[in-house]
Amino acid sequence: MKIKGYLLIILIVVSAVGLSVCSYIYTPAKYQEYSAGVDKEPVMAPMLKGVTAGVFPWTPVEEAEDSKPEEQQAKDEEKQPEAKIEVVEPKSFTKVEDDYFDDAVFIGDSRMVGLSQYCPEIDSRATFFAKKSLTIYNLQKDAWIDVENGPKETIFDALSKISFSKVYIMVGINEIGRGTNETYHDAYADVINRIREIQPEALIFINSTMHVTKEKSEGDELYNNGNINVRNAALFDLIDYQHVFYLNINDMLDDAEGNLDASLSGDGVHLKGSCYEPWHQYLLFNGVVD
Amino acid sequence: MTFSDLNFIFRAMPLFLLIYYVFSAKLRPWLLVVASLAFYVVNDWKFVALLVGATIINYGFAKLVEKKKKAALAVIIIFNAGLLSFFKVAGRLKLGIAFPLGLSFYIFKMISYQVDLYREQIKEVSFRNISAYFTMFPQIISGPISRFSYVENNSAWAVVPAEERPSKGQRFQAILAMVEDGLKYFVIGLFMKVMIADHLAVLWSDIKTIGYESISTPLAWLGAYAYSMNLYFDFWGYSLMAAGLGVMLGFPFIENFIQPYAANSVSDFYRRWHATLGSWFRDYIYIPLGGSKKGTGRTIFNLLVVWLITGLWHGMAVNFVLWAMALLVIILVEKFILSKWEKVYKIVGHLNVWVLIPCTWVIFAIHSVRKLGTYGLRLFPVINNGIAVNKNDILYLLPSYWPYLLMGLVLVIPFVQTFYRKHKENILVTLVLFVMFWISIISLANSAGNPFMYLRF
Repeated sequence: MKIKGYLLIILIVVSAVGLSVCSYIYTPAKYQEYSAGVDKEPVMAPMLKGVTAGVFPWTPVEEAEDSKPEEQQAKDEEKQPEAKIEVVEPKSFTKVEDDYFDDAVFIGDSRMVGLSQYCPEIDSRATFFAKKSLTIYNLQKDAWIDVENGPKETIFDALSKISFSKVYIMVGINEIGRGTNETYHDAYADVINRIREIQPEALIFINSTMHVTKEKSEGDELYNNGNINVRNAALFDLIDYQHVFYLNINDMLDDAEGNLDASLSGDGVHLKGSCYEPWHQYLLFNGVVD
Repeated sequence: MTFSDLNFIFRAMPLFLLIYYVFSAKLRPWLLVVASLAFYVVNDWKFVALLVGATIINYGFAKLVEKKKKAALAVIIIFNAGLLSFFKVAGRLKLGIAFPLGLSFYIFKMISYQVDLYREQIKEVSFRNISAYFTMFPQIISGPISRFSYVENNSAWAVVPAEERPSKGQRFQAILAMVEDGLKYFVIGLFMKVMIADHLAVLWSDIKTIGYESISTPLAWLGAYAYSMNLYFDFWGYSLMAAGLGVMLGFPFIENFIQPYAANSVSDFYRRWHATLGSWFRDYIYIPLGGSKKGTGRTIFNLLVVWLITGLWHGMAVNFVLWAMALLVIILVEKFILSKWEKVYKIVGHLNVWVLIPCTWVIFAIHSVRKLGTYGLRLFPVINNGIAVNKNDILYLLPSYWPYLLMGLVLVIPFVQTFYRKHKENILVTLVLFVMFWISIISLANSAGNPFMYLRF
């Protein structure tokens, strides 16, 4: 028998069996979060997904948040502000001009990328750190900011180099279906705390996760406005109206039923290139000036 | 469950192949029928009764058509065409009736079967063979539209007398060779679909996201070519997977895309593009109407009928009619005007394929006439209809998609296919296919059932 004549079958069968065995062994410890269940996908699938995300069988398992050493937890607790006695007047929103964005940075996912590409009034003034598929999780973990003639750096490294007075953030759509409301909230809180450590004087504006259109919302188990609203509400306790503000941009972009206005979107999720002006106007009407 | 579903690739397909080849050649057609019906039930159980019913009715009429009863032929053709038209029109009128999976493809096979039987191109009516032919799962979703001879030439169904039968070892080797050959086609098709078509579909989707009124003219052209390649590799890839599955089951290889972008005219393009559909229209509509043998006027009329039906078959919408009429005009100009100047025709014919065909695919892709007008003016900006156009938009998109565009361009070159055919037994080529297989599988694993990566915004 000439093996050459059946080489592809042999290679595929052997590699598929090998990967399935490895995936079966390592899934409980490493790839559980990538598994949809053996009734839905072949045994090897969790490992293939995990490896793509950079989790190899030899990658050390990350410690869970609640398993931080006691010492660290004590330190964290020390950082918690003591109960406020003094009543601080909340800062209010006011109308500003485009030059307000001269010292602003915009951080976010593809929707923020869209703002950079189709709102020249802001793009020509502000700095954008935005990337398609960005989540609150990889925003802080990954080195994803392009640096000229150098390796990519983390958002915090990038923020350490330039001083900004305003930080606008919009993520949230890609995180739906991933983690819980609590993990989303905690990750968001971590990002805000880190930014405040680096840029203590900056005003941080959390932009609500933009809704999707009615058609998209009603036809998608995951990416629907119910789930988006729950995630948006999970962030309310991060707002202090002193340093951290919440901009419900859906006020400006929704139709009467609380869905993203279908006339503004080509795919039900993003604004069309010609439809960023309402968001721009909303930001102009919701500046904060000391 | 489609062919690019991991459960199909790693579970259904190997399991079925094992069962198929464990049983004798006599039983294999029935096994294919059972597997095909199971495949249909998994994908569209509501209409499996329609498929079974249409098969039985066609079998009944075939018995009459075999006896050269012209009325029976007319009735069964009207029945088949009526069934297809009913579901097409019901879909258009939004009557709440879904379109049955693969209806177009099995109805076309049923019509071709009856006509070929009447023309005495088919020797005998066998319920086993026509059931396998009409229902076969490799072709049920998107074709190719094989002729009945495809079934008659299945080498794995041939019952060999005991004294001529090769040894078990030889039979095993022959089966492995068939599976290996089919698997190679399947892998190439899978790669085309998953790695080129599916990624370029995202580029086309990005253009829709921006809104046609806001794309620059270079991006509009990139979009036209990206969509053309998306469609080509999606369909060619799927056809190759289907053809590969057929080869694995003992059928001959069926070629549905014969280097269409190497065509020297639009007419030639459509002889090479979805060739089994083109030849179906030629053999069962164009030629019976008289083809080009009855004068210029009649030829134009016959072409008009063929292209009108082609357009409506693709979809009951204005854009499909426009698409078909645009192609008809180009073909008529080529046939009756350009062909008079051979040298000019050679150049303009290729230009038509490379420039006009992508434009016609834009008509095919955009269902709204208003949006089509907007896109058209972005392609040919004789009037500036742009709103909030970012002149650098193409530079934002190209870095993400150039590898897929490049792969597509390479695979369009006829030499690549010729090279593969010449060297497909070479170990290095096999290793490349092995790598292509796993790249496709990894991409599939990350795009199916994985909420973290399936939709990324």
